[in-house]
Amino acid sequence: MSNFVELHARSAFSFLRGASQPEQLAEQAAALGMPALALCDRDGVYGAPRLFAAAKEHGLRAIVGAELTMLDGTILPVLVENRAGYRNLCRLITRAKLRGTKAEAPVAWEDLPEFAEGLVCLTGDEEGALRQALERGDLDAAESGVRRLRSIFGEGNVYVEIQRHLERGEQVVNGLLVQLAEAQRLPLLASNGALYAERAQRPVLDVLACIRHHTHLDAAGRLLACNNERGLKPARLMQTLFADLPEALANTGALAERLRFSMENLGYEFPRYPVPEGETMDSFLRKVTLAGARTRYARLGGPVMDQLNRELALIEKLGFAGYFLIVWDIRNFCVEHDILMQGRGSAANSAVCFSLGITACDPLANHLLFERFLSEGRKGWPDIDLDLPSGSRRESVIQELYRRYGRHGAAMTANVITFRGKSALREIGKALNLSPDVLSRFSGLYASGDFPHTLDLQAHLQAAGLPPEHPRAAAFLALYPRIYGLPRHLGQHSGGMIICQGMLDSIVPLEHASMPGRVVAQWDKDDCEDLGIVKVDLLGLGMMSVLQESLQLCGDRGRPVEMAALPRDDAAVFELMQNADTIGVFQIESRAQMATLPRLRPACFYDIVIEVAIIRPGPIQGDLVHPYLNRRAGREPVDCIHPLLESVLKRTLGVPLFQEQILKVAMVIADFSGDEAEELRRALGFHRSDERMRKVTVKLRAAMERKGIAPEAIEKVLRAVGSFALYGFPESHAISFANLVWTSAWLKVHRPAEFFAALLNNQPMGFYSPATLLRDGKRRGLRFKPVSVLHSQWKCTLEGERCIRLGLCLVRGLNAGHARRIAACRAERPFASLHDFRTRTRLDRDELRLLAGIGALNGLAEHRRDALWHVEEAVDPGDLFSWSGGQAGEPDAAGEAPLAPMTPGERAQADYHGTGLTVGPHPMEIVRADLPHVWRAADLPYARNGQPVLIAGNVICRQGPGTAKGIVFVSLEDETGIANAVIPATLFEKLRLLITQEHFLMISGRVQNIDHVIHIRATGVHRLAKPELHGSSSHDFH
Amino acid sequence: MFCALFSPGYRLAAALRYREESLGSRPAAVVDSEGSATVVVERTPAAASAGVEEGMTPTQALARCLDLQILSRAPAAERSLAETLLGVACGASAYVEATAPNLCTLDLQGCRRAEGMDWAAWGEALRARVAALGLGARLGIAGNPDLALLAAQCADAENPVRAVADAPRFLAGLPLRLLSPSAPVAAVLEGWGVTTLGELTRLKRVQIAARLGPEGARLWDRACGRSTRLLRLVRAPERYEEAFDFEQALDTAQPLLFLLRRFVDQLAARLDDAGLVAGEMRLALPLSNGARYERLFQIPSPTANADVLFRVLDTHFESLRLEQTLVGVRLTVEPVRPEHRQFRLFENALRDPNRFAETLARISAVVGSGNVGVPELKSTHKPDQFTLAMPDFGAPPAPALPGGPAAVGLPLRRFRPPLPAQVHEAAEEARRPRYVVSEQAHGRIVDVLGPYRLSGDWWETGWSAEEWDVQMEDGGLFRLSRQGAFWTVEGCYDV
Repeated sequence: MSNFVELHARSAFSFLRGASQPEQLAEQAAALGMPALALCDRDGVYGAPRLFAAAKEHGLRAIVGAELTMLDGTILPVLVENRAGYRNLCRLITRAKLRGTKAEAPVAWEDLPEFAEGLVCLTGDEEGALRQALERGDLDAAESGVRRLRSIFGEGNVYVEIQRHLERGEQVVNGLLVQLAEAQRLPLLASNGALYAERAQRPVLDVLACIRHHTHLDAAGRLLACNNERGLKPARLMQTLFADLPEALANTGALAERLRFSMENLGYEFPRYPVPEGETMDSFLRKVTLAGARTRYARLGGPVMDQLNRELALIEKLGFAGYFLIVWDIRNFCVEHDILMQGRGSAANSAVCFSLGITACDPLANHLLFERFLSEGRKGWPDIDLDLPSGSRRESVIQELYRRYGRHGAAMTANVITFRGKSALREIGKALNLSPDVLSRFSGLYASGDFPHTLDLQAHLQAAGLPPEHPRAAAFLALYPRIYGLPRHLGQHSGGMIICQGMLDSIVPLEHASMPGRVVAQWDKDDCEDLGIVKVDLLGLGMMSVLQESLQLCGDRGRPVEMAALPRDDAAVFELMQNADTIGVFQIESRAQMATLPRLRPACFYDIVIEVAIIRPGPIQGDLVHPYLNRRAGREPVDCIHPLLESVLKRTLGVPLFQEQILKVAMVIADFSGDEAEELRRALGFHRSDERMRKVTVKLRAAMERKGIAPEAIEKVLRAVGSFALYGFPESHAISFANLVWTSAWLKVHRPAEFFAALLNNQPMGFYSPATLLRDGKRRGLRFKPVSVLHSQWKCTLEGERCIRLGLCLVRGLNAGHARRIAACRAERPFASLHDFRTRTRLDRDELRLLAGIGALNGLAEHRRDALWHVEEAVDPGDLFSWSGGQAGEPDAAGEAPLAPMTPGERAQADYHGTGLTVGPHPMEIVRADLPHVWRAADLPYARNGQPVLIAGNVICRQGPGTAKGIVFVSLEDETGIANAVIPATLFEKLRLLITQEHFLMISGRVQNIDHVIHIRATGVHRLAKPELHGSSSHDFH
Repeated sequence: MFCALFSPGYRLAAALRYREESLGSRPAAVVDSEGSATVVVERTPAAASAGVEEGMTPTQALARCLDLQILSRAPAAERSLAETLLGVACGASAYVEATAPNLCTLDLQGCRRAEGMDWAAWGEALRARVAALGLGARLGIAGNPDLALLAAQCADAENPVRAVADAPRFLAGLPLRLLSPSAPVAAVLEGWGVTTLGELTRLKRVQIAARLGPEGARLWDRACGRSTRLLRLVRAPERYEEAFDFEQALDTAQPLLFLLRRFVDQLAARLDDAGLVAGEMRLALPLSNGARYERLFQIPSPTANADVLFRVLDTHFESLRLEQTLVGVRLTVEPVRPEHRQFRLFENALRDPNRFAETLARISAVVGSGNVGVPELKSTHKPDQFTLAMPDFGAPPAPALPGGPAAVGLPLRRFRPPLPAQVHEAAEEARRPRYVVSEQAHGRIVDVLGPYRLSGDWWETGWSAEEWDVQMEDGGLFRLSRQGAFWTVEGCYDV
């Protein structure tokens, strides 16, 4: 048996040029008995970490390589021999990528010599320069090309690649390749240029080719593959194919043996922190930690010092001091530049992080498990995620890191965008040449989000007009699962940043992100974590911006508030939560959270931590919510599953809600060691591998059985663990979030004007539209004044104790520069008239109409229509854009506008059109008289349970959570509040388009009032058709 | 007086024109896919009452009306309906403007007794004529064209003919959108709350003109019913057609030639007069069983030369065999403008394209139509796939197909269709052919090259083949192909 090794394979990480995941390639190569496999993705090592991980599992050796796009358009495959070669490959790709554009970044031939050390090159397949020269009969070019490669890569490092795909005519070129190799005394190397793992994946490759060439299968012709011979082939088949060239096969094994580079150790080092002279990083960390602890803790005594010493000792032992210091440094930058920052994630379990000011909650006071953050058995770096205000403040932190570590020393982690959902189906449909009408109807069936699971794909296709008997329906159905999850293109992670001691581009190739000024690595955060590269998550949170701005406004008004000093026992804040009056409050404003609050009735800070953690897919799917609420209400006894688990689960009434509890459960009930618990943690967080989860579950079950745990308890434990695999919150993370919940709720209660102004200034964010926020503010007694050119600034501002002046930032279509010009002109001197305003601000006509329409010019005109009448007049003869061609300056100001003022309905329509909200009456209030049988949201508490009612309003939210088994929640807003309806799956499927498309709905159903949480169980849904109804658009989460 | 003949819902009528099943009272809407979005452009009354509005996307429309029938526009049928409408209009007046595809404006100045005319009766008669052709129509009759149009637009199914006596009263309540203002002007007027013609005319004309410019002034004039304009008159398209119905059915087509020669002479003379040439000819022969034989002749080099045109027909009749007797003949010529083209220095024109076409027609008569033309390779990996195109000597030579098969090796003479063969295969894994029995290749195979594998069209029926080049004992070289268990000889190589 020959030891054939495929040394030229491409995965789907070649983005539309390969049809299999690296994991599939590894599995197939192992199944075929190959000892190794080389992955040469196009212009990168995107798939290398995944191949490396999968290969390890299958006992295969992963060889790193890449196909380089050269300046002349030809493709040069290179393989990595050693660490120097890997470093050179990464730097070569980075140089090309950062020199070129996102779309095109070829490697220059002259760059190759500098980076050739440690690399072996193949002459390539049909896209290679050598094959192309031979195919056009240019033997001279072929010979000189080979000589050039030999001079660049050196003797023994150039292989003439020969492929046989059973295509007519290939023997001619292959014959020439053999002759050339003999003449130049170069070794031949057989490969199959694998583009997929198995033959069955060839259709996927054809579809990807169509997507890449913007065509469809009927028109693609010769752009498609001519047969299905580009898969991984067994040695036996390759021996038959290359029976005449045994040395070409033998060379694959020999070369594979030579290529010993492994991704096990990339030589990555986290940057060293520059410490003062005489200090080491460890000593300096101790010094700054203790200094911080003195300000954080009232008494720096026994337990605190013990914990700090324990943590510092472990940090020193693991060599992580530099990491902590650098994160501390980022924190200091934020403090110096007035950027609100808070650490989240498991870092909140660390007293060192708390002392350094990285996190806001005291792990000792909250009894948090430090081992969840850092343990001796832990592989890889600990996670420290930093929440920052979204927008420019976060960007300034990111840019500071680029500045400190250089473009080649820091990068955002990638976010691999994969084929999924309706966009994937749209692309497959286009490739199959289905009519645009069918495709748009298909997309229309999904108002947003991914597939709801209430209808299978076939039924959806049928509803879109593609019946099962359609000649292409079968292909459509077969392709989707094969293409689902394949990489489509590379994006950037929202906040994950990696930095490196020395050059990061020696570890991973870097390239431009779509966003100007950003550099992105070729791996995602999981790949980086797997390879031991430290990631610092700089996450943007809209609520952080709101809090920062609120606190600023409080300070400006002479009523400063310090976030850390807020009392945690404020009854009014708890009352707000118990009444579910939480629109605008961080995390607990969603419909599901608001439906839980009156049942959970938070009465202390830890209740908020539970509230944050319990409404997550994990606990919901694991059926943990109801048991917890029932136990809390005393409706069922507390059950800690097993007496051994009482100490772990008692504080959550026997319901495991936090990751820490799950780990502790495993340690207590299954005697898992720290390392095994760590393995469980990784499996819980490792969404990509069901296999990993299955293995750890088997281990857990076996351990519990060995320990004689009752089968019923085993099943309960395993179910709880399984739920957390879907999504479970670490307790420390929940505490960090609860901190933000508390602050935002406190501000809503005690500083509503500042809070609502900041909320409106930081849109879009959160669960609700500005219109709903404004209405909620009004219910809290705030007064909102409309946008006015005489008073408004760019942002919403405070006028008096409880009054907010809407800002020009809310005007849709008003240029920000023009808006600021209005404020600047007004600051010089007030506007004397509309003519004066127009002359000085020189806004364009559309902006003037917009402002007039929303009443922003009302101080300069009688009413909105008066303003609309006058803005159409020419200001001066030079007004080339005037319809009248400029007829004289001062308009007929004396003449009154002959137009009638707008009606309330017209004003509401103009407001929603121009700003998306109105300070006037709610549209439902305008039509209320016509709807005598419709219940107002505020009146629903007076309905008896089970009473049939009719509700109506502006659809502000449609939600079809994956955990709800097809049930859809619809929130209707009227002038008194929000009514929530529950639409059963069958009714939703019947009226899907009506429910997802209409802005105003009328829903009939029966009242369901449980623990003061009111829902309407819908029995019918109807369109509410009134010409006066114009509302805000809905936030949909299907 | 002027009459506006307006066909509402003509896009719907066109889309439904050739449908076999009747829509009945089911809701339906025509959508237009032009531009970036597909939107509803017309809908049936049932769809309208279900809340379907023009401008909605199909998804939004389906949200309002789940059993809505979505129809695509039918441009050819729309053109045909527009011509029908124009034909009727031209029959009613000598002065007709084709204002829009579904609207004709007629100047009635030539009508007799205009003063005491019963316009309602006259209009009803005209509407009935249109209805007989399968089109709905509304008529407006008024003192000026724009007013007539507004009257037609306001007519409804109950009162399809509307004559305007009191213009100011009629106009005051009409919605402004009937004047079709441009989108920017419509937006301004909407902002002002001006929705009817009466509201517009309550504003001063000079103020409107100062704000909305000439378009505003024009709208104001039309809203007052004062606007006057000259019609852009059109003539009904002249038909170049000759026909004859026989008193007794003809057994053979040959006697027709005499008649056709006269037809061609007549038509050629008319074309010549009009400075036109024939682009194509359509021959229709009604048969005794009620069927109809039809044939379209493209004229490669459009001409008004009667001899050339007749030769085309003559050649066709040489091979024409009809099972039924003939009851008539009709010859229609499609006139086009003569084309003048200057050749480049090294460009060769075919000296007489019509003669060449005639020769091709003669060859077609022998070998069958569909077997004559210039072969063009299809862009596919499937072997021997080509189309036969009529030669276009005016066009530059087509570039070679990108990525097409390289011409390597010996020339292959293909057997079309491939010859079935029985092949004995070796027992080894590759199952090489060892012995072949077929019409052309027969005997032991001494050497093989291959296999070459090909497959495609997996998204529909799919095909796959495995080709082998084989050398026979006698030195003959053949290409064999295996599709599943079935072998064929594809061709032989020239040695």
